[in-house]
Amino acid sequence: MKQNKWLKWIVGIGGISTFTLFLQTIEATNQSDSAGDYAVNHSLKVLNQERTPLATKTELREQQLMTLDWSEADWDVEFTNDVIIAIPRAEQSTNKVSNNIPQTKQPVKSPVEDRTRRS
Amino acid sequence: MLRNTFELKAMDTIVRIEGTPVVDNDQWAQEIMGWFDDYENICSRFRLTSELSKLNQAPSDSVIVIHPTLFEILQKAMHYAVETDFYFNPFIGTALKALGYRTTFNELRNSENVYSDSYSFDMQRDESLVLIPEITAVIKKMNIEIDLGGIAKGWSVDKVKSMLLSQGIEEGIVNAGGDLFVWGDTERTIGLSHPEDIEKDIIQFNIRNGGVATSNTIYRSWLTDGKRFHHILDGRTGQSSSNDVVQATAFSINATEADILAKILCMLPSQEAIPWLEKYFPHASCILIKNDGKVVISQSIKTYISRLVM
Repeated sequence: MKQNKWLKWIVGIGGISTFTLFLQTIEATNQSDSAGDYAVNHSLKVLNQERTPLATKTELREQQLMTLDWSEADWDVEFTNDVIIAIPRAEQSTNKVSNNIPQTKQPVKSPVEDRTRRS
Repeated sequence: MLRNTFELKAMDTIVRIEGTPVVDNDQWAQEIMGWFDDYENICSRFRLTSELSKLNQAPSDSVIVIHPTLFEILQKAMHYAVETDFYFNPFIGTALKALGYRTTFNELRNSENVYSDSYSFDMQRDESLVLIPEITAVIKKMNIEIDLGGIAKGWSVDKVKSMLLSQGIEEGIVNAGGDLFVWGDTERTIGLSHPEDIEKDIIQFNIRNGGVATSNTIYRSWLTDGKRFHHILDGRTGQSSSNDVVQATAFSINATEADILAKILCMLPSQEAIPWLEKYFPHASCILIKNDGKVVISQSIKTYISRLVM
C-alpha cells in the first residue's frame, strides 16, 4: 500500500516534470524564431521581417519581405501584430512643423521621380 | 533601357506617365491627351456643360441616357458605395456645394466670399440611382447632385494604365496628382509627401505593382461663415470628418480603390481605420499620419512594398 502510494507520487511528479520540460522546449523554440534579424549600423536601424522562402523564383520574389529603415534621431518605432507605429522624437527632430510631424533629414532619402500626395 | 515618358495637365493637376518598352510615343501620347480632354468634359461637376452637370440638373424619376464613360464610372461608384456602406458616397455634390465648395478648389481658395447654404442630408441607399446598362441610362431616385471627386483621379489612372498595356507598355507608372499605379518587374521608389509640404517626403517606399493614393484633410479646406471645412465628407453624415487622422495613404489592387480607401481612412479615427480596412478590404493596406505626429502603418503593407524608409 505504502509502495503504491509512493509509486503514484513518482508517476505524478514525473508526468508534471515531463510536461513542464515540453512547454519549455516549445517556448525556447519560439524565442529563437522571433529573436529577429536586427542589423544596426551607425545611424539607421534596419528590421528585416522574413518568412520561409517559397519554392519558385516568382514565389521567392513575392514573399512577404520588407525592410524598414528609420532614423533613430527622429523616430521611435513600435511593432504589434497588426500595426507598426512610428512616434516622432519631437525633442530631437529639426524642421518640426506645427502639428509635430518631423521632416526627417534629407540624406536619409534619395530624390524620387514620383510621389503620392494629397491631390 | 529607354523609356516613354510624358506629362500633361488634366483634372487640375499634372499627370505623369512613364513606361517601357519604347513604342510610338506620339500616337499613345495623343490618344491619352485626347482621352483626358473627353474625360473632363464628361465627368467634371465644375464644367456646366459636362455630362455630369447635365445629369445633376436633370429631374429625378426620369430615364436619362448618359455617355458610356460616365455610366461606367457611376457603376463603379455605386459598387463602392454599397461595398463601403456609403462611407464613400457619390451623392455628396449637394452637400459640398452647401458647405461652400461650388467651384474648383483653386478658385475657392482665392475667393473671399464663401458662404454656406442650409442643407438637410438624407442618407442614400443603393436604390438612389438605378442603372440601366442596356441603354447606358440612369434614373435618379433622389434630387441630389453627384460628385465624382472621390473616385475620378484613381479611375482615370486605371483607364490610362489599361490603354498603355494595350499599346504594349509592359511596365510603367501613371501618376495623376499623387494617385498612381505601378506595374511590371522593376521596383520603383515612391515618395510619400509630408502632409504640410508636398515637396518633402516623410516616407519613401519601394513598390513593383499596385495602386496607391493619398488624401489629407489639411490642404483642401476652406472657411465658410468662420468655420473650417474640408472636402472629405463622411458619406453617411454629409459632414466634414473630424478625427485624429490628418493624412491617409492607401495601397490596393487598383488606383480606383486606393483613391476611395484613402478618403475613407481619413473619415475614421485611427483606432478604427485599420480594423475597418482589415475587415472590409483585407487585401489593401495603409499608412496613416495622425495629428499628434505618429505614423501608423498596417502590417499588410508588406504585400505591396519591399522597403520603407523614414
